[in-house]
Amino acid sequence: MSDILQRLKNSVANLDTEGTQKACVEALESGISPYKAVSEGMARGMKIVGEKYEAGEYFLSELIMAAEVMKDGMKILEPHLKAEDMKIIGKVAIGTVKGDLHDVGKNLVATLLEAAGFEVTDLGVDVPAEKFIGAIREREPDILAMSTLLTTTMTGMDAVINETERTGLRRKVKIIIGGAPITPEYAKKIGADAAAKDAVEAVNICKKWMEQ
Amino acid sequence: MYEIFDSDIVIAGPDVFYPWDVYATEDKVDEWGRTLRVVGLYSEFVGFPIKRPEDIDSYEPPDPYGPKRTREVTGAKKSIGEEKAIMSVVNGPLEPAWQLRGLSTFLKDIYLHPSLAERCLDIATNFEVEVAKELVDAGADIIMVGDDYGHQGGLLMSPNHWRKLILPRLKRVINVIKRCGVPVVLHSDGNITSILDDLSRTELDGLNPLQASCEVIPGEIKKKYPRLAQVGTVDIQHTLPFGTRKEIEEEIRNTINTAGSGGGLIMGPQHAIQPDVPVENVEIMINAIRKFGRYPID
Repeated sequence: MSDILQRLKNSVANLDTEGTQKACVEALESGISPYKAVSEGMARGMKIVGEKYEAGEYFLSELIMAAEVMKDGMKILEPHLKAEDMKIIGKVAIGTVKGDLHDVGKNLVATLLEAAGFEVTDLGVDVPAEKFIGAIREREPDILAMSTLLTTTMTGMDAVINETERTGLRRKVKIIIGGAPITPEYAKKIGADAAAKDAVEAVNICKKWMEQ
Repeated sequence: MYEIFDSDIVIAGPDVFYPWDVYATEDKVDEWGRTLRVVGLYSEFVGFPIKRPEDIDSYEPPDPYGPKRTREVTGAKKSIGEEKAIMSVVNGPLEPAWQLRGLSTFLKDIYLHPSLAERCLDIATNFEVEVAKELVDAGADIIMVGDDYGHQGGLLMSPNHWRKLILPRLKRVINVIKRCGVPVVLHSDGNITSILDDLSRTELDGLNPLQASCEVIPGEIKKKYPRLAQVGTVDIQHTLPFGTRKEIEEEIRNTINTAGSGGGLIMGPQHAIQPDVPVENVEIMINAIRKFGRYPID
């Protein structure tokens, strides 16, 4: 059993789609719970991927590829996963702010968050403030995550945070922002709780928040 | 605009990109089959022609020749070609290639469909090489090869993949332009520090944009790769849109002091000036470049 989990971990870490899918099938056949195959197999592989990225061994293409490998594995496990088995470590609503269609970074953060055990509501791109507010009301996320690539649209993040304050929702969520022009100074200036320099750091920050 | 700001270089495009219409209200499909969507002040590709790997077998790239490629260069040459250097722009191998598939899909293709990725890169390279020749024939004095290899924190793909897939094709583009007798500048956004050694060993004459916020620092590049001219450098993510007069002037003075001595520094904004930049800041930038950028610089 531990051999299959080990292979699940390694095949995700090595970006091996076929190996991951094969190990997922074997996990199901040998009676390993799908939840365990995720949490003690693939998710641990994703953790290694994140570490390799931070160490400069992996690059953006490897992160995107790892997310794909994980998705391919989930396709096999998902039909057998019971909702009640899944231990959600937190809930995140995420989107690219209004006026911006860039979604490579945002999608990557969403996938890596899911892999880390978060329930993610992806609001898509070009998301207006009212849609972020609506998602906080309906989904009650622990964390609101906003992304942008452009300087012309980063002020939209400020508008969303102001709106959370006006509607009394600010204290209900932690807010994390990211994207090329985003700095920790900017996060501080507009009242966000954190700025992430990349997808791996974003996930690390969100996980740390949920442990508090 | 060029007259008002007394720019030394005038950019004349080859019209290979797309119908760039910021007032468009509907999605548009361009000659490559890419779908362009305008949102707010910006536009982005949202649809890509090669959806399934087998689509490449029937894919017809656009015609690199024809008057529309050279119209702007010919016009600029005729009207201001005596006083100004005309810089025209082609892409490198990567951008048109990923724009056939979508960026995330292309980055996965490197692993899942490597031969498809190479075919896309060849389509792009073959096209750009021909357009570059046309542009030089029409009178371009400098060619900028635009191909973004980095994001804010690093490369889009591993340096090894870049060396295997991109570098040989990029060299082909550079060499063809050099054989035409004009200087070549590479534009690549983001943190490309891990491939600068490779780039410095090509026949490239210059680099753009030099984003210090991505660790590509003009003063350091000057020390390490003195042969490479530096084009751009003025920060458009922080300084130009949000900086005070003092901050803009300080950045420019610092860059000139660290990267300007002996020549090889062509200053301006790193990239297209975005619509959030106050006009006053553009004036402050130009005046500061003129004021501090006088030789001799020690």
